[in-house]
Amino acid sequence: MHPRQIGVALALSLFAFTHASADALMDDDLRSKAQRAADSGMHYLRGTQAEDGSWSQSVGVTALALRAFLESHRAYKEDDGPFITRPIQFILDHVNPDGSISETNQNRNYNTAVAMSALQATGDAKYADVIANAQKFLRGLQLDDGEGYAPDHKYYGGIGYGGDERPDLSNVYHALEALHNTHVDRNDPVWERALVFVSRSQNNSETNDMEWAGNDGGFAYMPGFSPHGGAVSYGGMTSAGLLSLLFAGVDKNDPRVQAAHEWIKSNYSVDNNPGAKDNQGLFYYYNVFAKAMAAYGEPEITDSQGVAHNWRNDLGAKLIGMQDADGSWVNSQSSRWWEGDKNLCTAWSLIALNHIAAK
Amino acid sequence: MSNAVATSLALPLLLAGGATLAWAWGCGDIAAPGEARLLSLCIMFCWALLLLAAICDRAQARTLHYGVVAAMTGAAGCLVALWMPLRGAFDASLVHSACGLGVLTFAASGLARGTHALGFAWPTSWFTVLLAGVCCALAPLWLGPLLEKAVVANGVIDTVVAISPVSYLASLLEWDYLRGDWFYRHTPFGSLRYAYPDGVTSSVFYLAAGLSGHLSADHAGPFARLIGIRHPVAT
Repeated sequence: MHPRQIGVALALSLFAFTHASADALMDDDLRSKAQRAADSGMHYLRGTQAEDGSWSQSVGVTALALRAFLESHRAYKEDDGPFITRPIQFILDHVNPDGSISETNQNRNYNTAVAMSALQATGDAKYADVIANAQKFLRGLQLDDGEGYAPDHKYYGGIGYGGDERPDLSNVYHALEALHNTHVDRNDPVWERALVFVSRSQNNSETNDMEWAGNDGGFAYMPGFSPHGGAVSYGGMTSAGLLSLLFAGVDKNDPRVQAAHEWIKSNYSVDNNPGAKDNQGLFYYYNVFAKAMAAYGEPEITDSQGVAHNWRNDLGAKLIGMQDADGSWVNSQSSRWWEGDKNLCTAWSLIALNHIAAK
Repeated sequence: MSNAVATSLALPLLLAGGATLAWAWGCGDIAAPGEARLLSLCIMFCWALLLLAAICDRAQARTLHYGVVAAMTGAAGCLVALWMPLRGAFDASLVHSACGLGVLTFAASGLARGTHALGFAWPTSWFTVLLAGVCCALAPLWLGPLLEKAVVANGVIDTVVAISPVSYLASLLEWDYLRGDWFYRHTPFGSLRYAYPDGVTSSVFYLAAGLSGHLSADHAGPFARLIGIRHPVAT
């Protein structure tokens, strides 16, 4: 064979391999269905959007819905119309002098964090100052020596709702996601401090210096406490913990990452939020699970029985099956954690679908 | 309720309040804001107990003038009580919450007098108001599980939060106490959507409630007579 022919053959083989790898992430037919479900979900959100551009009168829900549009397969931009520009304006209208972005003194961390990610997703440089101030605000929420928390305190490095100083992993994960999405320097001490708190929320005595730590590798809501009893690990927090570790730049082979991934493999499910009571926080779980698995970068999960699962196919099919006729999603089993709010569940499902169906 | 009974009830209040205050002061200089706010609420709680115990069996308490003095004394005393352990973390919110305690004292004295005017013996009226206050203060604890089970409108949840005097003081402290460590673990409020009452609106409400109690006891009008308030209320 002529060397040029060998080169062409190799190139074609490489193309076929990479193309096949991309396709293997998700069945084409299912991807099309997922995109149609996303279109239907976005149509629902267009219908429930308030005159001022908001959803559910909340900066947090508005920012999540906005992000769902911006990161969808339609890749909406500000030029596409007021349904994109008005929620941005709603978010900007709630920027506070301290840098937070919130309509209320409560939930300032959640609201600010998701608003930052939404503004960043616009790709518009004119929001850089707002984002920079919000970064400072989030850094200021972190508990450290400045607030009287020594490194050996169980709450050191944590971030709470922004009004109570009681940190938890969910708030930390949202803050870290915002800092990661807005490209905060990896050498910033905020990451190292956050890792102390994240590690102390994991049931992994090898890397957790707290006495309460178990050994299943999963994550609790905060050091020593889970809303589902004791300090049990559950799906939503384990995915949030894994994602937090990856956001902070922890290597995939780190024992904390591996322990969390092992827990996910052992408790693999898209039918419920494993470890949680009454399927509480189900859509939160779907959202963070999709993001965590996409970030981890493995197309398949092999469960404890040795069965390999294409998590994109499984979760995509599940979400498509759970969508209501009007295009929305809602947690019909538990309204806890605001999951009785269709706008919130729909936004979370759309963001999950965006991560699932992305090529 | 006789004054002897009132005195016997006042004693545990005094002891509980004094013991908590001594514990709080013994905590030393608190730097962590979360601990400081929790400590603030503890101090305000025990200060309120001391205040209630001190005036519940006094005949002078049955005047508007005494209600005003008690409120001002309560606020000033609370400020001193807060200053002792929290001087390292003192800010405007502590002043606001001390004033809030004064407002609550004024409301309690007015409502106690109003209740007395409805026919309750003194100091039973005091303890009736105290009991009602405690029930309202604990509303997030005993109504929380019901709110979680029954899917209710946000307005209902906000109302339950608003009827608690603790929420009023916490809003002045700018502290989301329902998502604080203890309440998060023991009530479902952390997972519900709610808003705290506006501090100014609540202050006006409590002042109006207290003033109406005092005025109805002093100057019973046609409506007051209709609902059974005698005029003038004998002291």
